[in-house]
Amino acid sequence: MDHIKILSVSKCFGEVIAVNDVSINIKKGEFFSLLGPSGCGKTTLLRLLAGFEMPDKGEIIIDGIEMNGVPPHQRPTNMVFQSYAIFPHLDVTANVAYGLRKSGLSKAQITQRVTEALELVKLSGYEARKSNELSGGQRQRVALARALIMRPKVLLLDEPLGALDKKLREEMQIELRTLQEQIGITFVFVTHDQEEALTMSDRMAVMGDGIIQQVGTPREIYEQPVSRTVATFIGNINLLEGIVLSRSSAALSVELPIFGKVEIRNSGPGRAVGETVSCVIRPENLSIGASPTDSSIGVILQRSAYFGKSTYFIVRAEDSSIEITVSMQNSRVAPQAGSHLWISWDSSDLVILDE
Amino acid sequence: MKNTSRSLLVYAFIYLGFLYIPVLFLPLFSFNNSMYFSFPLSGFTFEWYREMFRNEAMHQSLFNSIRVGGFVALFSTILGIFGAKAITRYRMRGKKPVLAIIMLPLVIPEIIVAVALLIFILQAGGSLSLLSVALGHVLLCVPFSIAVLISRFEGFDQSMEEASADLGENSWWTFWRVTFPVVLPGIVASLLLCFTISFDEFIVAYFLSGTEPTLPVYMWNQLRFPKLLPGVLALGACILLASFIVIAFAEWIRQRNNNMALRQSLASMTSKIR
Repeated sequence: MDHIKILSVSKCFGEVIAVNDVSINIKKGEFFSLLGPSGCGKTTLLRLLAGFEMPDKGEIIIDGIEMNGVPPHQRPTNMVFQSYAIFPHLDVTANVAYGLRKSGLSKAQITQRVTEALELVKLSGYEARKSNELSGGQRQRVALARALIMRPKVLLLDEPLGALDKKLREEMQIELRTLQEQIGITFVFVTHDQEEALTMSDRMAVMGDGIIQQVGTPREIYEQPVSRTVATFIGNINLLEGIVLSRSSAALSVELPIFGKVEIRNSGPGRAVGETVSCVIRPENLSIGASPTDSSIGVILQRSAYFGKSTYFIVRAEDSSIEITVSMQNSRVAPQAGSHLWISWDSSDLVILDE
Repeated sequence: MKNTSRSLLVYAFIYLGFLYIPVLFLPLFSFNNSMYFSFPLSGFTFEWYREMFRNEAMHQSLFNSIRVGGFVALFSTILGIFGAKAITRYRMRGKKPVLAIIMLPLVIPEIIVAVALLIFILQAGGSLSLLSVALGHVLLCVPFSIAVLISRFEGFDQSMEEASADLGENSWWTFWRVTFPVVLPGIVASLLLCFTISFDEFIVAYFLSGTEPTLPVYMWNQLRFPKLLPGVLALGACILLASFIVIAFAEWIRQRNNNMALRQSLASMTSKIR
């Protein structure tokens, strides 16, 4: 069922290794995101799929066909460019119909297809506009219609929402996702925006320095990050170094600063007693209160940061300078810096990193 | 402030006067019924224009210049398109030195180029003709053409060409459907520029034209015969008028396009407001 197979693909530009021995399988009809900071190689990987770059090593197979040496114009992929790349000398209709020259369709059929494509991206009525008469969001829809009219097996999207303002971007995220479910083709979506990747994807790959850090569903990536890079790139997280006290087949007992001795589910590689391990926990998985409960630990509030729907509290234990962050839905109480608070957690939310 | 703007205005008038009054002497004396260029004007005549229409040799040289100019404009611009596309689109070794060598004729004195070409053509056993003039002019015009076209090629988003490839077109069709229309204004500018440079180029043409003079060479030869000179003035006045009409026409088209774009953007704005 693997629709796209990327097998140990590498690509260098001079001395720079943009993509380093990457292997990913993408399923048919999947919304797959490539997430990473700029310069991590995600766009190069997308361009390798489109055929604008050829791999130095490894191979790419799309829909069962080996793609090495196949130029972009013969691939079953179409791309939505970051700059949209709307042809400025053509109107919307001619832009959208651009790829149908060799389709053998009659003029009426082409008009029909263009009308359908524009309806799909909600841009009916703009047929005669030139690109300089369109807003950023409208251009993006033209780019989308122009690619979708080709009925590609795979749609490649290179940070298509990057140039839009926040509100429009959030609307387009939902719209793109709905569109993908409606037409059911494979989407490969490049973004540096972690929330965008988490919201939209069926599965995603986190990239850093040309290497795939982790592949998984948004939930797996967010809740079970395997490496420090993934854990710190996706959202806010508390990272603590601890020492393994004892181990059983199911759990590790770890001594952590602030938290003390905790039992953590043992999922990663085998750990020896006495080894140092990195543990992470999300700020929203900690809860904070003004009075102690059965399992809570006393901390001192250092400072807080207000974010509207939630507030971040940065706290430390009385006997330690290590700080951790706790986030909370806003209550009416706003504790002062220096006040004594109590934090508690569920040890199933603590994750040991592989590295 | 008022004084500054007035002195600037005076400066502007002096500048324009210095630029254009000498040029205006050309049509003025072309209607004067004396062979000598001196005031006061002695009387009005169409004689020189009649002579211009009778003068076969002058027609031939004008025709030569137009032919050479047309060839040079087309050939230089085609080379310019190849060069500009290669320089802006491909990664290659030695790009900078190659570009520098192409641009060299811009800074070499024309007289040197002319003498060098003359020696080269004669040594190579070639003969002097309009073709040798045209090839000399191509050498001079290619740097201008490349300079104009490089800025046009660099000025547009390369992902448009990738988008075309992505939508199923090979590089040949991508060139005709995307690159060419987008760089077309640059191509037109290059054609006009190269034609103009070739049309009034004298030194290379003088050395290489052999028995077929171009218009500037013909005019230069007429200076030795005062009797024939007013006819040259009449032709000069006609060329001036023709250039003026061409420029006015080009400007009119440009304005019309601007107005159209303005109207369209206004229409789209009002439709958004509604």
